[in-house]
Amino acid sequence: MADGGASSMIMLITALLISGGASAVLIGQWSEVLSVAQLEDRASLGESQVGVAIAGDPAMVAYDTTLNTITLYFVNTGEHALETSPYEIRINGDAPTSSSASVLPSGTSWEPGYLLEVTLTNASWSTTLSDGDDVAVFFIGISESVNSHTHSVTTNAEVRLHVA
Amino acid sequence: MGASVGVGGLIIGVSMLVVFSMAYQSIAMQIDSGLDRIEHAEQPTATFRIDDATLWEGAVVAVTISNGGAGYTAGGTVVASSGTGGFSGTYTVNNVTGAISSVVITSHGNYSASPTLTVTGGGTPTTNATFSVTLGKVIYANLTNTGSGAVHHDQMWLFVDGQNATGFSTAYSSSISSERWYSGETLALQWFNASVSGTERLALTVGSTTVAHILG
Repeated sequence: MADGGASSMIMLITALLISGGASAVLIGQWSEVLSVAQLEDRASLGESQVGVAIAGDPAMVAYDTTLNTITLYFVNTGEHALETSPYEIRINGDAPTSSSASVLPSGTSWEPGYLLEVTLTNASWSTTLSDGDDVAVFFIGISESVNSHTHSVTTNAEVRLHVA
Repeated sequence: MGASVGVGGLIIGVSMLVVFSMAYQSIAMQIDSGLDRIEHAEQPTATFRIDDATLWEGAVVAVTISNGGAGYTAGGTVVASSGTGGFSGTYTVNNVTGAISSVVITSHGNYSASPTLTVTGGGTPTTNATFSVTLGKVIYANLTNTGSGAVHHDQMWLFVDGQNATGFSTAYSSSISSERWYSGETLALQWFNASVSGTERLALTVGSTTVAHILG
């Protein structure tokens, strides 16, 4: 009887150790799976919290025929700051030969609600664009890091050029 | 027999605890995720209209006292004695000398040439005060928030002819300290010295929404 009790106790403790160890491993792995899922979820959430749009009067986009420049404004419509560089802009699918950008009202960080004033230059526009033309504008930029992720932001619109 | 039942019971119990623990973690993550999404729920898109917009290119935007004069008393008004434009203002007086010490514009008017200003109803001056005026452009506009949410002035940008982006709080002054544009509220904008040429259209951008209006 005593031998039977001892062996049962050994089996019991062994079973406990094995099931306890397996449980610890299983719970640990499950936690890691959930952590990854949570990170991905937050990344997805961050992506929905960044945005950009064209600002200003779309019917009167400044076009300087002397300097061959087009001045556009983009507003940060998200909840997180955007990078002022790099960005890419296309006018009717063409890239400008040069561009400069500044943040309004001031500073270097493109915060939510702030504007990015971009002046684009392309000498070939003198032959292809004129006052009153409708042009397609496409902008793509990136956000600053949100929960360790950066996200791309894009906007596009048709605007009318205006020579002052 | 009894030991086997005990071992079996323990294993089942531990398994149930494991399942409970995993379910708890899953539910906790779902709740966290849900709360995050609720907290960062997208704000409704701003909708608004520009009820009217007018440009006065010859508004009196500043009055400089060239000579304060003497013998004036409080209670009179400063008016334009030349031109037709509707300027009026109030003033303060130095109680000792009776000289005009400051002028507050109450109506900027609109002139094609600088008007001559005089004081009326301010006692019997012994020396007449003289003023010089500065004419400038003023854009008057009424803006109504037709959306369901309030908009902070920092999120609002003004453009004239698509250029010279100007923060709304820079151009707008209010008698109250509130910096929010509430649903249904109409703001009366008086934008002084809008340094633009051409001046055909006023545009307001809030977030991804832009509304423009021809300047009358």
